[in-house]
Amino acid sequence: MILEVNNTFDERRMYLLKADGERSSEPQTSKNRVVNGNECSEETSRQQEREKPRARFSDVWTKDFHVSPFNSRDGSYTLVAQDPRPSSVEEEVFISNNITLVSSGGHPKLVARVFSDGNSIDPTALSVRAVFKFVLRWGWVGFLTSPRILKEAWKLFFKHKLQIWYRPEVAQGSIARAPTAAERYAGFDHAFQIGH
Amino acid sequence: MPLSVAYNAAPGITSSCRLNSTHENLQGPLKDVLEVSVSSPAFYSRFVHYDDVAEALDRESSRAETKNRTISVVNASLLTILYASETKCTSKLASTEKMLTRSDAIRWDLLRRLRCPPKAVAYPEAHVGASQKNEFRAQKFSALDAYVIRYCKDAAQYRRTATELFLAQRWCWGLTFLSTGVDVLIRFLVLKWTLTNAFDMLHTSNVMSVMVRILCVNAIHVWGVAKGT
Repeated sequence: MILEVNNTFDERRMYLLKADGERSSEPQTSKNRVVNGNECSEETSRQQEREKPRARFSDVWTKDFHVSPFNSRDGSYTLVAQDPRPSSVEEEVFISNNITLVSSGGHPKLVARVFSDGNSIDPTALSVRAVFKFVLRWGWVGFLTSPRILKEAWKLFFKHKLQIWYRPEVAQGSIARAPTAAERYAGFDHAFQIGH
Repeated sequence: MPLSVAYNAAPGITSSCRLNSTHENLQGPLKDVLEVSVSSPAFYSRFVHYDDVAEALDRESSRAETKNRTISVVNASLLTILYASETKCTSKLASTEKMLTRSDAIRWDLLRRLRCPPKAVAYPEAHVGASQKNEFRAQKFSALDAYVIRYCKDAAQYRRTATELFLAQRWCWGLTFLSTGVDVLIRFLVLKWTLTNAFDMLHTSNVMSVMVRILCVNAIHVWGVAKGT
């Protein structure tokens, strides 16, 4: 799996994670749930979908990229991801990715999960009304991301008094931010031609 | 001694290259390659602050705390050959200054006087004491300045960029957009003053006074010329 991490400083880090090809034979969530066919709601069918055995990917790698001012560049990440592809036409696409940030002391510090909470949507099959509804429901989310980050950062710093870690320069293997206009000009070829 | 330098620019700057010395006795391929990779574009805006290439490369790579490094150098022992070339270039400075016109000499002199240490690093250097911090020698042209004056057609652009960086570092907390804002504010005030006062002054019979006032009317251009734009 190729995993790309971006931060708000326009820096990037790509990780190549190796698959172990594990396919879980046991359900990954609550086990042995009995569902009455007549009472099978949308939620329970989603639950069943979730519990179908799918290939699972997991890996652990060292953190070497600055993401948040409230975490140091040390520690490690653990990823457990479920193969989203359906194994048959009847099955639905189902996404479930868990990332855990483990501190350098070995303590789980942050757990983030991205998962499907509904059936997948085929944009070509949507009516104009459905598209309009979808845009109204989700169109504004991206614009609110930065204010939401700032709001949470405000709380973490002023309310919870978390330690601040200044942004270090990118480590080797990471991709630095884009240069500013002055840096682009100052990125003169001249600099290394002095001794030429 | 022959030298091959592999220079890998920061992302977004397309000037990566391989430079080989044109040594007279060079026979066969160069074995040792000095590899300089810029990991952060911040290196470029920091580099202009140093008046000494050796000091710049040293402080931005091996002597810097790992989290502050903006470049990495492979085969750093070969840097001494590069430094020898720098000394040769700096020795040409005396003749370099003679190449400048009177107005350009004033502008370059301003750049020289404004030169200051680069922005403080995020993680303090444990081994840098007060005495080392004072090593920074202002009031001196760098080898890069000398090279740009002698060989680059866009020397004025370099001078403006570097001067802007120094002004921002000295008086605007290193934020260039603030120094640009001050420039815009000055232009606005000059225009406002011109429109409200200088036009009224033109109604006079004294020729000298008219000349001075015409100059005042064009004050914004005078400001531009003084800045070298």
